[in-house]
Amino acid sequence: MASTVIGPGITIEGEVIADDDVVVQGTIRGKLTSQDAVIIEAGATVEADVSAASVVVSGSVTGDVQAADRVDLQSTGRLVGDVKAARLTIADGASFKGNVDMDV
Amino acid sequence: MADSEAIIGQGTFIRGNLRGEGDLCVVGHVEGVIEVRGQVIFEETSIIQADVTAERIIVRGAIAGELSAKESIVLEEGCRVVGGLRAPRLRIEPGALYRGRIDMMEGGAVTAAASAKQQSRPAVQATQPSAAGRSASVVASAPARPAPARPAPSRTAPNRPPARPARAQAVQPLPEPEVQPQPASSVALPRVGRIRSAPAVTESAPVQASDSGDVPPPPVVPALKKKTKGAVRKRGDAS
Repeated sequence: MASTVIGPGITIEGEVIADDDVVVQGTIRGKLTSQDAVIIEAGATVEADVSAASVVVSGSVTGDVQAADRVDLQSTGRLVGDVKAARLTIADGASFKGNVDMDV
Repeated sequence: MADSEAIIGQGTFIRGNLRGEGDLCVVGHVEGVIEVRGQVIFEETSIIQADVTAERIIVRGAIAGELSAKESIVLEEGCRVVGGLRAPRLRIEPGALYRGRIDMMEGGAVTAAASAKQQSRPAVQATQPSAAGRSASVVASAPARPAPARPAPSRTAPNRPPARPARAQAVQPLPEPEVQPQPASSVALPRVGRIRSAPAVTESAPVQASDSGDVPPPPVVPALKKKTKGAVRKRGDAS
């Protein structure tokens, strides 16, 4: 069982701070922080700054994304905002607008 | 039943508003507002400081806040809840800890319930006799603690007749607000009886009081707890 799941019907306005995985299928507005992976699934809407060990974006994200390890923007993903991560992958079909900082 | 399932994990902390359709399971920590159309389960490790609105609410963890359910609220064994409960059906299991006001009138506004507590009380017992009985038994254990402090003034009364009636009046208003929110009106009655009987004792023993009138403070000390007494005297001195 994933530790935290924000289901498709759920909207959170505020701050989410997690020690382990967060799976987002619904909506988060505000701030999302995790010590582990954040998975933003297709259909999810995140209007928040996201900070995590790794971030997988299949849904829609508006906000800065910061990952200690990696950011994966999947083909269904849409990301508007700056990305700061050691590694970044953008799949074919994904849309992205923003700056990328990969600690070069 | 659940078109969506949301889980707030144990290591997760949410501050803000949490709204949505479907069911919700909280194992972690939430501060703010929770509004769900569906069932909410607060697991054993959950810590909630939020007003909760849902179809059904099941509590096994710790909650401070108003709980409002369209269908039912269940306080299960081991839960700790402080705050108002509003639901047409309510179950408080043995081992649950609860403090607050309960309103089981359907669709009643909070303010209306507050202004007409006495009307809501019999209605609770009429609509939900079993649930009210259980809740009464649970809640009754908490008010038992302040009770010893009230009869105590009557023991001290013989030694200090002039001051005692005034003190008794001063003490009485304090416990009364505690009594009002409790659904167990039957528990409150015997206590009122004790307080009323106290003046009779003082009237019957005025002679003893006049003899030992010079020694008022010592008997007062055991009557009230040390901290309580200190606070009362300080207020008296200041005013």
